[in-house]
Amino acid sequence: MINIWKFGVSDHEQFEKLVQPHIKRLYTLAYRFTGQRDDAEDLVQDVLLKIYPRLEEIQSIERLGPWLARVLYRQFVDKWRSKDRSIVQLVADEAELESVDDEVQGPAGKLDLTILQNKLQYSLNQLNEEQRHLVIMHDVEGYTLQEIHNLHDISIGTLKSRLNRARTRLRELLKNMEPFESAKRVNSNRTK
Amino acid sequence: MNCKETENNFDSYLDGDLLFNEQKSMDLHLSSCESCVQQLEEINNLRKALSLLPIIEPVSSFEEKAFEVVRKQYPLQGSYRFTIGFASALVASFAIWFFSSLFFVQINGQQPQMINLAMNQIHTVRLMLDAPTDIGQVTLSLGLSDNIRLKGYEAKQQLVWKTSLNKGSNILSLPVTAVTKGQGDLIAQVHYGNRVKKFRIVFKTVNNSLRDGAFNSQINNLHSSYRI
Repeated sequence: MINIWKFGVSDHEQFEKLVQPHIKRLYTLAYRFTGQRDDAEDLVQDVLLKIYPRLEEIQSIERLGPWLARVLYRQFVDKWRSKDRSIVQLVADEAELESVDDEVQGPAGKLDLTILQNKLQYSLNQLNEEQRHLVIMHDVEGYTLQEIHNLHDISIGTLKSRLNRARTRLRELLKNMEPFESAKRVNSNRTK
Repeated sequence: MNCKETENNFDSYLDGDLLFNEQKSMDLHLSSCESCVQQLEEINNLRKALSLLPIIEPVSSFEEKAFEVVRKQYPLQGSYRFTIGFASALVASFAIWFFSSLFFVQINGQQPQMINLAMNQIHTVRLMLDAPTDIGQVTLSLGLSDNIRLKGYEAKQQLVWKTSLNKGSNILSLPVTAVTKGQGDLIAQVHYGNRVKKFRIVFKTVNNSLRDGAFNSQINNLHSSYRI
């Protein structure tokens, strides 16, 4: 492997080279937090504008992904949580979905999956913010407990307990849920 | 292991992160506790379902637009840096081909290489430092004569940074410009341990009118290779 020092690289180029590999995951996390594509894009944009002046610091960060995730979460908490937004958008427009594997799902199976995912998303939204954040980071986005500990400086024991409580609550919500209409969007927060 | 301890280790168990003894102890508990088995199965199913929650992808131009907004918000003000990277296999083979076909190896202390530069034009000079082994703590310094400028560092005639060298090829890609006529030079120094290696390239500025024709092909890729 050849070591290369390339001089004359602009700050813009350097910034984009460092951050671009993490954009997709940042957007995904933003989407999980905000529940809307436009809001997720805006949140990621806000993060990019916030961190650009910290380019030198970014260059020195060994594992940039978790650091960016933390900045995104702080940005969400500080600037977005206070906004009157619905956190969840249920699956109504199947054409927009990218992650459902059409090849293994027949029409009936796909409908069942959509109903289940709507229930799950709705239940997730009923958790308190701390629980929801933890479940999104760990169970939905696959961050390890160690990574979450590094991000938020919460002991792993505490994280485990909180995660257990969150899942117990989630399971209760799912069990108690009334039969659900798949096409129904829960936008009650928006219409209030 | 009791039920409480088992519950606390569900995630580690599912992730395969338990130590051998912990795993064994948990398996033992699960073999006799139907309640914990049921909980574990529910959690496993829940985790799987959560990991499959769909997402609506961003618009296709999102990344490009997002970086464009950053560029507009923070216009460049002559701020450049140098970046360290590692060549891919393709680039590496390309570079090696270049070195073998266009470059010559200059041993420390021998006659410096002479390179012609057209005035006020950026020419990328690539220096290859050929290290016999990995060298962890290295201080690299570049010194430029007054009539030579390095793109992005126009106000500096001296650059010093700490780094490491890989065994084999280490490339410095330097966009340089001659700003006044005459001879100039670039001196690269490599400090490691108690040793210092010093390399010198001499630049000779030439009229821009010589850019055309055969000379043009000579100034596009100017490279030198040095053995550490």
